[in-house]
Amino acid sequence: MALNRQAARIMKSIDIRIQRTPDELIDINHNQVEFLYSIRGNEAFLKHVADDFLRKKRNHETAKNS
Amino acid sequence: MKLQKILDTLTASDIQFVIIGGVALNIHGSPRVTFDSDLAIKTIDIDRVIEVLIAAGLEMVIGVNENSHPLLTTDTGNAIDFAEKSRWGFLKFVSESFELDVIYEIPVPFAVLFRDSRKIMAGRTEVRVASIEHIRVMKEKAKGSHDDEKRDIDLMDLKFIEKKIREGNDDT
Repeated sequence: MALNRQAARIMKSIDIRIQRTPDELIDINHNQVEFLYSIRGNEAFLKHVADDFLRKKRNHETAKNS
Repeated sequence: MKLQKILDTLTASDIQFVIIGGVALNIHGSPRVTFDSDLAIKTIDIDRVIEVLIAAGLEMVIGVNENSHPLLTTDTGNAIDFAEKSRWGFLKFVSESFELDVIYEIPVPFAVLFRDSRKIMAGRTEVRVASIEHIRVMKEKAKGSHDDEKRDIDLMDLKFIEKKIREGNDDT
């Protein structure tokens, strides 16, 4: 039990650096946004989420094409 | 790979889980989108979760190299062996467009987390989302062990959680 408590205390403190391409990051964001829409529908807060995602995507496309 | 497919797969395999972390916060109304998804499971289900998720096409992280880059496997035996020896308290699965942390050592007993969770429909699958109070407990625990950048995010999330609890507006 003491071991469990110690492990819980350091919950997710392991440093794992996954290298992602910008395309992969956009895909991950897109998946999250799509999932949230499927659950919460077109609610006001999701507009902020979607706007942020679209802004990142536009920046990425611009950088890729320049 | 999509979160919906993972939730469908775990449910079809009769594995109990609760959505926690950033996605749970999103479902409670937070606009901060995270890159990984977090699920809590019972310790007893670790082996089955590994089998099911690797069969679904995910790779599991079984360590990190000196640069903290992940060592991955799709070998169920290796993955289970790592989980038995590891003291991480969670399993990390990845694919090209998806990251999933499956946490089995949490500061709230799973039975309590599950009991107080909210049922929601994700597609055609009924899933459980941690209560805002339990998300707060987990965030508080995590905050103490994170670096500065992550701690700022934790504090931002905690601000949202406190507001939500003050408003008594747990609207999942």
